[in-house]
Amino acid sequence: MNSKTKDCLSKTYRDWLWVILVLAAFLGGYSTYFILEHHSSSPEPATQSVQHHEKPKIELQTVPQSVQHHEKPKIELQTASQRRIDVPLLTPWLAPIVWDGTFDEDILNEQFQGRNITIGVTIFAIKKYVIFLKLFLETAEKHFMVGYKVNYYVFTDRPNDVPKIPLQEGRKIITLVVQNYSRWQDISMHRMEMISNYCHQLFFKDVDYLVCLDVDMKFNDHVGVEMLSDLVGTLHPGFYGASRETFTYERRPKSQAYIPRGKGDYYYMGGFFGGKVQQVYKLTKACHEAMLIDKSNRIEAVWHDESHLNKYLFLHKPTKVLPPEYMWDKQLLGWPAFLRKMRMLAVPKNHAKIRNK
Amino acid sequence: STSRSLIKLKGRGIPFSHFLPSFLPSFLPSFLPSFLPSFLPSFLPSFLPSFLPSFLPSFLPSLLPSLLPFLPSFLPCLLLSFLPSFLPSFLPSFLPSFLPSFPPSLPPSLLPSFRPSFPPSLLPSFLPSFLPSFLPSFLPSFLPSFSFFLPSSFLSSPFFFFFFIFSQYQEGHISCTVLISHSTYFILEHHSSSPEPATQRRIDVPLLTPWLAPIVWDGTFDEDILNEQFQGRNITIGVTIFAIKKYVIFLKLFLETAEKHFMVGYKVNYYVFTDRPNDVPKIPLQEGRKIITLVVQNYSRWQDISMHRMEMISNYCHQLFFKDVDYLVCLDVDMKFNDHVGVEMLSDLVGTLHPGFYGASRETFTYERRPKSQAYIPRGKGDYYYMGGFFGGKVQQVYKLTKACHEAMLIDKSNRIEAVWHDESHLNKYLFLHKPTKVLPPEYMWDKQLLGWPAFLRKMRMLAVPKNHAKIRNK
Repeated sequence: MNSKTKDCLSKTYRDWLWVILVLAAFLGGYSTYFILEHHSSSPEPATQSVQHHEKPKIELQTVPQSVQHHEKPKIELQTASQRRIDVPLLTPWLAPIVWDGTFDEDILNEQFQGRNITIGVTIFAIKKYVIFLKLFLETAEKHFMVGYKVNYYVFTDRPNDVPKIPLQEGRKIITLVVQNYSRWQDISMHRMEMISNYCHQLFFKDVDYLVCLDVDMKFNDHVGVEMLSDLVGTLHPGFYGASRETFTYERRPKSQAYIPRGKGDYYYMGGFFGGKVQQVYKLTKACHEAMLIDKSNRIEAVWHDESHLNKYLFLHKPTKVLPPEYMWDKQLLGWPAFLRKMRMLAVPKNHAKIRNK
Repeated sequence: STSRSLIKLKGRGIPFSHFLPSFLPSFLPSFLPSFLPSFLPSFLPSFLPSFLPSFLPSFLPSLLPSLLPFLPSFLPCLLLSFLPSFLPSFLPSFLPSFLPSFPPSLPPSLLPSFRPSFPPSLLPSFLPSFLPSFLPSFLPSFLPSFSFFLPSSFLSSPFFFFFFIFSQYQEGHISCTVLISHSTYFILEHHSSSPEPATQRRIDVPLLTPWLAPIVWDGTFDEDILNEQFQGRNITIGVTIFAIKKYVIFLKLFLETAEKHFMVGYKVNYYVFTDRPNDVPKIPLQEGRKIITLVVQNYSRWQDISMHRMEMISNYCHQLFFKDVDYLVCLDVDMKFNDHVGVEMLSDLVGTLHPGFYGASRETFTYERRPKSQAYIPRGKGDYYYMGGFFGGKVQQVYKLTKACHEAMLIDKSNRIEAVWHDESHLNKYLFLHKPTKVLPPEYMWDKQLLGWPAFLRKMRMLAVPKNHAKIRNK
């Protein structure tokens, strides 16, 4: 009798647990992709909260009712209260990592529209890289800071090859003729020098924010004011999720870009940084001066300007960090689950043909 | 027949209903954070989740001594409650975090632009999402009772973890797989290099506002990095507190606890606005800190005293604050510091979430709802309900805020209307129109007597001091 009772009980209990497990798994999967309505994490002890205010009338809502009051009844990937739990949302120094789903575009546009800002974009199309300009600018017109004033600063040695692209209102292309270098590493590194030089001549006066991009990219999805902040760095897509030990920081103490083992927060991409003009000026000036010191010591950082950028952003933490959504390579890295949008993509190129020509 | 209470969990049948009372408490809080937050609030009555998290911590300390003889019978329920909380948070967080690290390790070649990461990154990314959700759900309800007997460093150490897990395994309350998985996680977590900067992830609370302002929860920031950032800038923080009439009695405790917990190591100026300068206590202060007493007029109504704080702060900005301090923090005086409050809270404009409204629906917020008032916020609008007794930021921003609120209150006064919650309503209106750049969670302002100790609250940084409202006000 005893064992029979126990067997019956066991079956009941197991069934119940299976029901809960299946329900839990379903809700977990459903709520990860379709965030259901709610305003915050846990309902408050409603009775007690009111006493704190000494109100005569207790304005309690039972929870089912409160949910129905929500203004936005649509169940979708909302911004306000839904949460990305699959990715880190903040750096340890409280800089937001601007993942899709964490911000509300409307609120941010409201904040920025009133300030009449101009965003400057610096792109370097030296030698054969001019061929990337057309796609870059065309996609930028569709996706980059739509509705804001944008100045494209095209640094090139072939001003005649700069394509004429129809631009939206308030946007313009400014071509700056600069010298080229024979080695592609030098071209890449001298970007820092050129940006810092032009700051005094142009950027301080004309723009509020600077975004310094690689030109062999195309915009694929919305890139807007959510990325603007005092100092912005982007996580290198090839190193996202990797252990700090695998980061290709400069490891030789002789270089100015040296970061010892066990140090460093993230591996930032050399081809996407930005911020307020003053901050970008400081960054580019510091990187350029560090590269000059390295040159006099006859050492070149393993990843050139990217190593120096990483050193600078290690010492001067960025105020916003952009996730790999803002710089991705679909051919090399595929489409992992944490990537909801690919905002900028690398354009496939033949390295041997393009460089050093 | 054997007493039901002594049945151990060894796959034996126990009716589901038997587990309901003790099983739900620690099951639900963890259930909620992982994925139910979206579902459960609408399903259950509001009292149930709120009742349960505070239920466990409060009753365990008192009951545990008397329960000791019956501990073996108590534990199966506790432990079954721990298992379900392990599973639901395991499922959703396991899959997404497992997948991301996999593809980057696939590309074989080492091309100039992209360097692949390799498989060891797999494990750290999938396990951490498992354990943090486990810990908050189960341990907070358990720990308060234990904390009487053990120092906190022991409680957070791997030692304790292993000891506890192994003891449960010995008693047959958890399975071998659980023992192995938990131990493996711990070994990996503590012996491998961290893949990213070492902060545990909080998944039970919102970390960002929709305008990308961080909500400064415990566990989201690294104090050392932040101190490094701020120390070099030689900043001074100003604190404004209003001790009018009988409120002077709160000064002693406020200042003493502030010396222990508030911006330790930085220069701090306490600006005490009072009408009784002789009653300001003499507190021994750390180096670089000073108390500046400012004599101001009092008002007969406490509502007026509260509202005129805005005016006084904006007045003294030009005289004092612009020159002397970099950041201003405007606090209520009937509080005490209980835990670290540091530079993590500093930003251009900072508001604090009112503890009584955390988690509540926007419709319950006590905004001013009469369109005639300057503090009017229509239904359906508004982001959070901010506390009137804790705001701050750079002096320029606080000046703008206090000036705007004061002018709004003057307009209201000329229209013969007073906002329902006085300066707090005006503060909420201002912060709705000018979003703060950092938001402080209820950790920074809590009332333990009224609100207990829910699972999401890891630290109570500032606590309300109990006071007799009738006696204190209007005297």
